[in-house]
Amino acid sequence: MRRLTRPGSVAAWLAVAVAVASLVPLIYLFLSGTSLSDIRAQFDYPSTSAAVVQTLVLTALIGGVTTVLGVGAAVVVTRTTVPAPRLLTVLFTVPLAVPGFVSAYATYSAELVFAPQSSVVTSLVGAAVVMSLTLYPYVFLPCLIALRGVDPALEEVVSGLRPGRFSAFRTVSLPALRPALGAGLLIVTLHVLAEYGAMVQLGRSTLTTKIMAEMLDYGDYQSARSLSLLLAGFSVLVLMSTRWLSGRSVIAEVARGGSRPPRRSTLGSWRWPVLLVALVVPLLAVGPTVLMTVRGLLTAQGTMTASWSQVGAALSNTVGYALAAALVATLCALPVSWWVTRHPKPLSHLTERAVWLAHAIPSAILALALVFLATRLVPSLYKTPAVLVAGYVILFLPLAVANQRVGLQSARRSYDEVASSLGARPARTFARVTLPLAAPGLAAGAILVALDASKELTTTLMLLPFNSSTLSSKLWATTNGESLDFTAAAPYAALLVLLGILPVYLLVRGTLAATTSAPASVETGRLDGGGPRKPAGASLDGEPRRLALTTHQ
Amino acid sequence: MLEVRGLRKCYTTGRHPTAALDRVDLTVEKGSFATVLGPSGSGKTTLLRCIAGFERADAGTIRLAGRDLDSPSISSVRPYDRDIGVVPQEGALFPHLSVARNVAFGIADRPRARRRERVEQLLELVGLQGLGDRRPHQLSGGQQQRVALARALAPEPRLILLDEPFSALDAQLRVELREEVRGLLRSLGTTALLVTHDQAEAMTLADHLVVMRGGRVVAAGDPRQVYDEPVDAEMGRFLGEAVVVRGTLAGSGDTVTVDCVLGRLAVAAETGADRLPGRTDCDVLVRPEQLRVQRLDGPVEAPPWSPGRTGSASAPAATSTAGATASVVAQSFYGHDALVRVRLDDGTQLAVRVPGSVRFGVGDRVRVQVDTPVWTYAGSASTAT
Repeated sequence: MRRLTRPGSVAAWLAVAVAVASLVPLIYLFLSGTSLSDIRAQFDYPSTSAAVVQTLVLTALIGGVTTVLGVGAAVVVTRTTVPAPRLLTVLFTVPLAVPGFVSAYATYSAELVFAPQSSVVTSLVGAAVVMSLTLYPYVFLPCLIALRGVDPALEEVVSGLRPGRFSAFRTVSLPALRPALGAGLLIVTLHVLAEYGAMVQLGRSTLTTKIMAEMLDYGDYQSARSLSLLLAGFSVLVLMSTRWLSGRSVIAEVARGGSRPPRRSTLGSWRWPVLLVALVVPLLAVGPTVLMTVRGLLTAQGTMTASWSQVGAALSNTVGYALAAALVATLCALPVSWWVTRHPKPLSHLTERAVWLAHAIPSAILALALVFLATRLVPSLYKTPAVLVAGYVILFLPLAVANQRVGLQSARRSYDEVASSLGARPARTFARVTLPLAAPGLAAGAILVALDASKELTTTLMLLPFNSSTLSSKLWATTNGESLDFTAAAPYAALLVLLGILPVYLLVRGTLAATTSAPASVETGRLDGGGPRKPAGASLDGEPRRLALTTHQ
Repeated sequence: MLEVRGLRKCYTTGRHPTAALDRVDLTVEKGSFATVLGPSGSGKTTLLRCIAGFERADAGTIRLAGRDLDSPSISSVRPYDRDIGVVPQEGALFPHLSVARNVAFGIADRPRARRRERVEQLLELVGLQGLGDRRPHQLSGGQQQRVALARALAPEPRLILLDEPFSALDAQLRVELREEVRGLLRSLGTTALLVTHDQAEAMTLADHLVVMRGGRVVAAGDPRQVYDEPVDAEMGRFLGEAVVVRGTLAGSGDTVTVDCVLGRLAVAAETGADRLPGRTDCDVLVRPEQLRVQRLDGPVEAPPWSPGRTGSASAPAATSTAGATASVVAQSFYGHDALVRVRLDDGTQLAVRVPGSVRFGVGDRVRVQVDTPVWTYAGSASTAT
């Protein structure tokens, strides 16, 4: 027999197993006997159509506002002579550190405290703006990378060929922006569809809030399941339409090698006014949270002493669950990322895609499916940490996979081959060569999974073990209290924001490193929640520093 | 030493399986330096990867020093058990290890003191003594390749495989380093196999030259012989400059001649009528150094090397008629010599090698003559230059 077991086949089986496992909850949900008539029956309640309309209107509004804010911010930072562009880049990204439900809660409380009669925040447009302020960085970052990556020579050629001030921007930069904008909008809209906490705080009733209400308040799982299928349908539509918007990123391939910085338009005496206007955006986004948190911490000093033990318990639970999720996700992601980097072929790409699909479905649906599975198949597991951690792992597995891929790509296959030609057996090659080189990517993936798990609200609320609490569940519990002035929430908010700062730091550093050194390629696949893309331009010797980061709030 | 017999390898990318290796035979004698030359896509890298054990051949045998590495009767020997060192393109030094640790990677099982001694010895051998603590990224491209060589040599493999190891270097360094590497490997008595697409590199380095095309070995042997006696017209054009023109064979036995745009030429004894039974149409291969060019109103410019070549040929003077008239199109100056491009009156373009001291102007009228026997081939290769 000439055929023998290829070294990749063990990893391949494991990878397929992981992919199937991460799809099981969804498959179960779809096979659990919900019919079209069940979905149609939901529309007998007028609130269902209202929620669908509300969801669509909010998605459109927030998509529009984030596009304006994100592209505008990226253009200001990369294409004008605004003072301190690097600092501005950091400031524009900072809103990512604040979970959406924290920001919404803080903004709403701030309005209650300082302008009780205005009810701007809870209006449709107000809610859209508040949400957009927390989400626009997902558009800003890919656009920033894209605008920096455009070769200035291309623009010079165009402006030489065609007179007119904006023709170069329109014919060169805008097409380059398209895939970046598509990727950014994909994350934004998936967030809007999945958002629960912020929507409740802002008084909006969407499909997700209805699903959560059916489950948490009425215990009507049949209705929740029907609505979930509807919501899943919207997610699939979003996935498909942004894929169309992204198009084929031809420019990104051609535009390599732009080592010169892009041309900037001179602002002259407008530099400072532009800077001030630009600063308003991050200030509006994180201002209320910082203000209310500090205020809460300062005023609460006398009355809060007793609850610090609760804060400690919540913190240690959060850390425990998050570390468990990071560990399990890292182990599960390893065969997937190894297989797809070392044996890129249709089946391995499909496996990776399956992992992403589970991620693109709103977390409420995933949690719902896990509740079903646990109660039907292993009732003893229901409301135990195991199910919660499983939920986190399925939700954030793509983060681990994407970052591990970056790491494994820097551990090139030729290193393995050289090592084996030098007499090293596979185990030694892996320990001495592959692992040390891939370690930064593995670590980044684990950190991001842990941080996102610690901030996750929807899944936590649905799967949290009895008599347990985490930072986000405790913070959420304070929203049911009598005083909505954020005092009781302040310590949890402070810790959640602190947890959020590290990934933002990593992300900004990664973005700046990826775009200042050598040829930048639009690697938006790293940022989006919606699909694996072949990483463009993996440099030969430079260690890729790019990070994948999506945050579900 | 190394014997490859009937090696086959197919890739099925897309719908059609393509043969990367098609019944490849190869022999490398112990202690010799063999090069495999081929354009990209000729299967030379696949061949190297099969010998190294990184790829599994579909059929055929690979045998090193009397031991089967790949054959129908055994399961393929894994790369780490093959005793073959590899110097990849761009070196592929482990970026997280120092130079010394890179070199020591393959001798981890030896006692510490012996290991250190061997590393120092090898670094000195490749001219990098004292750089053991550097990181790969602190080295230049040439230094990285030296370290890669030292690393491959450290476990004293039976065979060293070099995969275009000099292609990433600039021209000057490439020439220096390849001479140095060959000298080093020869002095150590190491058997080496190098694959390259650079024909100058292949010919200057090789004791034994193998030319591959489309997954097959099309020529193998002493590099001078492979160059002087190309197996077909395409090979002649691939190895160095050459032009192919149509011709008609005449004569028989020892005095075969061919009529073509350059006049009536002597045909080398090794080809001729017995190779082309019953045919008179043929392709004629002419190399720049076989041509002499003479200004129509001046003396013949004889290249300094032409007497030696003429002497070894079989009766050239008898058959070389007056040649053909042509106009000079361009002259490329290389210092020691120059290539003059001329267009014959029928439109055929030719390159003629002349000493660097000879100058022509564009548009000069010249007479072009062939002064050594030419090689003729059956078939209908086009007359494009």
